[in-house]
Amino acid sequence: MKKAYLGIDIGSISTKGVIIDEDKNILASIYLWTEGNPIGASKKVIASLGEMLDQDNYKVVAAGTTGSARKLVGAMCNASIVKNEITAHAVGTTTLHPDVRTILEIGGQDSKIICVENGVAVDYAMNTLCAAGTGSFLSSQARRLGVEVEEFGKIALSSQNPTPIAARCTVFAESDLVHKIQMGHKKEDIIAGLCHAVANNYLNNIGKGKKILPPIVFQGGVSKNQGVVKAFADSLGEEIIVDENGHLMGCYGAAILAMGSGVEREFSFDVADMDFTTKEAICPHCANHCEIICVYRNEELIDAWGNRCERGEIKVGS
Amino acid sequence: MKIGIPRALLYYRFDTLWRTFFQELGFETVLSPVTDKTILDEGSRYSIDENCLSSKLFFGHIAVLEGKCDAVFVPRIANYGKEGIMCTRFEALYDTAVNTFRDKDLKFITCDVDLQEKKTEEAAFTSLGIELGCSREKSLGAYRAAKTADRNSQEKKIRYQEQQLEKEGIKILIVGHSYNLHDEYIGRPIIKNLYNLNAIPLLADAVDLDWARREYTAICKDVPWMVNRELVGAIHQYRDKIDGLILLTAFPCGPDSMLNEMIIRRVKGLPILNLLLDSQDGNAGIETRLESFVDIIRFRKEAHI
Amino acid sequence: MIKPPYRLSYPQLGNYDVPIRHFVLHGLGSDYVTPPPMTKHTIEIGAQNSPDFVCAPFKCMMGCYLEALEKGANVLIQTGGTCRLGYYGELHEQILRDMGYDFEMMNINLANYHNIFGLYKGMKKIAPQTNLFKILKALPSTAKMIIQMDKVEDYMRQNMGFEIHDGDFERAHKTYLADLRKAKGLKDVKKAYAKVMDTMENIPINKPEHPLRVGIVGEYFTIMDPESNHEIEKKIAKMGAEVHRWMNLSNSIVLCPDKRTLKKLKGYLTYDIRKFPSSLWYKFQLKQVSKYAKYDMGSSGISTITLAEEYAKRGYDGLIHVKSFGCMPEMDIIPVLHNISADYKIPILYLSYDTQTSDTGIETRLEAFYDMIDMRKEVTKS
Repeated sequence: MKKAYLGIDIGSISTKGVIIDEDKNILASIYLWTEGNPIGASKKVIASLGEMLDQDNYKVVAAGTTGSARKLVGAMCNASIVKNEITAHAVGTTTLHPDVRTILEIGGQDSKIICVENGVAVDYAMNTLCAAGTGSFLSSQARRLGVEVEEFGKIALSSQNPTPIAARCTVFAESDLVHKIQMGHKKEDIIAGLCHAVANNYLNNIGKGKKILPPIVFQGGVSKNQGVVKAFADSLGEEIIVDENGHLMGCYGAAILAMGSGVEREFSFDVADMDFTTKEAICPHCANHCEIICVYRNEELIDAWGNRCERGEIKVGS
Repeated sequence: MKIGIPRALLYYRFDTLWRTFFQELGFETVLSPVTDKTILDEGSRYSIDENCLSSKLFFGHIAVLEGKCDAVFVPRIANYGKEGIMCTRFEALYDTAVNTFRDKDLKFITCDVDLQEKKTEEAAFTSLGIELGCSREKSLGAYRAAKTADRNSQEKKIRYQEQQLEKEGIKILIVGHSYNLHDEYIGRPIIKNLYNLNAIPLLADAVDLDWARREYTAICKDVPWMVNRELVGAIHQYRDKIDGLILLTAFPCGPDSMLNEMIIRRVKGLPILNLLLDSQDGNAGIETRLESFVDIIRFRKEAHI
Repeated sequence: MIKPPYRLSYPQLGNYDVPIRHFVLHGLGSDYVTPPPMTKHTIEIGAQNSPDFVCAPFKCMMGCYLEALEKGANVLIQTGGTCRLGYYGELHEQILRDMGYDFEMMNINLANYHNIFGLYKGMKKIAPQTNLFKILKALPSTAKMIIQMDKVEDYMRQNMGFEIHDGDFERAHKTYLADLRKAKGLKDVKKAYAKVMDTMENIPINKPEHPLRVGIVGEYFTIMDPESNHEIEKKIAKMGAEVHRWMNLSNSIVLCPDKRTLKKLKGYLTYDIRKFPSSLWYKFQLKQVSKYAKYDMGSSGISTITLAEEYAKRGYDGLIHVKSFGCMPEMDIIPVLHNISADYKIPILYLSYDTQTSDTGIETRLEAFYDMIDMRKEVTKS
């Protein structure tokens, strides 16, 4: 029996899973929409991975979770390690691209830059807690324009004269966009303008003060958008590498971190069939009204978090 | 020696003073061009994202001066003592610029106006002149000549505004920093727009500034910033002669974030339009808002008659 | 007009309500209303009643005032400052009056009190029963309290990440604050300090020889108030780091940064109330960072870059820069921080807070930052 490691990345928009062997080769991978249901999506991911894996020869000995629902799913599948997505992405990308110097990433709600030296992240920055210029921002603008966001890239490339759009702040950007539509700008120009705005906004905000050195890898959901890729290439004057497995970097990194943690924990694909529920409790002890999340497996409390102080602590088993 | 002056921020207040001073000393000055898209883009590249539009433009104006002059003039102006302080932006401006453009081929010259530290404007410019190799007498003379020219130019602005005030029509006072009022990408389009709507725009910086700084206390009393005192003073001067107020602010201007609130709370009975600008690209609907503002004033006026 | 008895209140700022209350009770002989501990609710009601894009400290203080007024305070204290802080007082007062509250605003800023004597006259107005003797008598114990509180917190920041029993340090600190609240004079203050230091030094810790060291720099209010900065110090410490922060009331106001006695004396004699509170000692620090700055860059700016460079020189593993969104002075020094980061190859995490800032966002960033400097250290070690 050979050892295998599972990694799951549960983002706001999509959930990704991967299983690797001890040589960091990908044995199975899957990608699907979260659809606002991280537990359901993770169960589906785990079930599919279980089907794909040669379970007669491989056994998952450790799992890692990352992404915005990492804690919840980490509790669910008894993970050896629960890591934030920035670290997971850095680890995943530097494993696949050992010579990378800069990782640009634009995801559903976050965007970040990671500077790498000799395979180790040495500096990073993340958007200042505002979703302007991220994937969800692009999706909502696509809806407004009546275009599928997947089409965005192709349409953008057809524009000769991108319309300038202010994308520093979602509120400003939306009113500007509406205005530009009313003024009669062409749809493809507006879309190309949005792509430029996303790239420039990124470079002016997150990339400020950072040396963006090649090779540059661009990933996250928005990297599928050729319009934004081109806008980056134009602004930076460098080749932009988009890995076709770019969307898997987070879960791949989580799997590698699980392997590196040295902690082996019982993992069973049966979790896909178990019943997981969460309950929200509001701590009544002060005006902070901490929202405490309790996770139950088959109605048994397995984990809880969210309290700011010990007064709201809920102990598992009590 | 060619001295570069960025056409942004305090240039719009001190243009005559600065340019006359350097001219009197025999130096050529190069002014950056009127704000355009390149300058805005360059500004966004060099400036911290959170900065106000006006500051972003300033860095853009410096960037385009590279290679066109021997040194860029960025004074450090902290306060005018009893007359009030400047926004900390102007206190830091020289050092911020030097640090921002550290890796560029740009030299900076500066002078330090800080009356709390007993450094008057006169002393600041005199020592700048000496630093540039001129004698004390010549430098002092140049400053005095510049000061006279500055006063004359302000008087001209005031006279023009008085003529405007004589005219019949809807008069709207635009309250904003000079660098916002007169910038091609911020205030100019608004001024033009008001003319197109047959309204008469009045500008809060074309008043007797000394008077405005003395009398602003009729509206509120503890304002620390010299420029905001003048703006509030201008409102006091015109409040009975105008039909509406436009508060023109570049997001997220620190002093304005508070003063606008105060003005709205203290100046009752006048229609007020609060225009918050983030970037030229984002001026969506400004026209619509101006038009409806002028309409409302017009309806009010007609209802009165 | 408010009639006696006067009940004073100042917004929450970390735990400094303890020394402020001590001074009001014993120096001014007035009543002090401690605003309730700042919570999400405080910040919410503060933001609701503040202008939209004013800096976050204004909104937090607004919330505190509202809660203090509800608790019966009738004299609100506000300080001046060289940035927007200088106008907080008048605008707070206007908004609260428009809401219908009846109170007196003691706005300690330049426009009202030109010097220490003016300030004394102002104090007499809201504390008619006090005299110079009483005030001078309460000053040493108040100053001592501030200095020792800061020392205790310094010690805690540097060690709490390595405690073996979770919560030991915080428990000791809580007891200490309770002791200080009961303190009547200098003797009690010193006794409480000796007690807490004894407790803390005996807390079992498991600290490696070369722990990760993180320096926190930034804007005056947000850096000192854990509720405003979402307790980043505690969070990053608990991940396993030694956390350092120079900025506190002792270092920014009470203690002159120069070590030499004569210079120190000169520092106190030229104490410039106009630079109060964050820029008092900038002249001492400016010399240290002349490579990066020629002039005072306003408010806490020079302190921030001085300490950033100092921490970088000492070889810290990372810096965290903390400020409220739109804070002008701290924004202006970011290009300097970029240069320091490049010159000393030290990563800096920039956090910009407004009242909407979410806990999760901050946590993810802190965690990633910690992981990064931790991995970096691992690599450079081998």
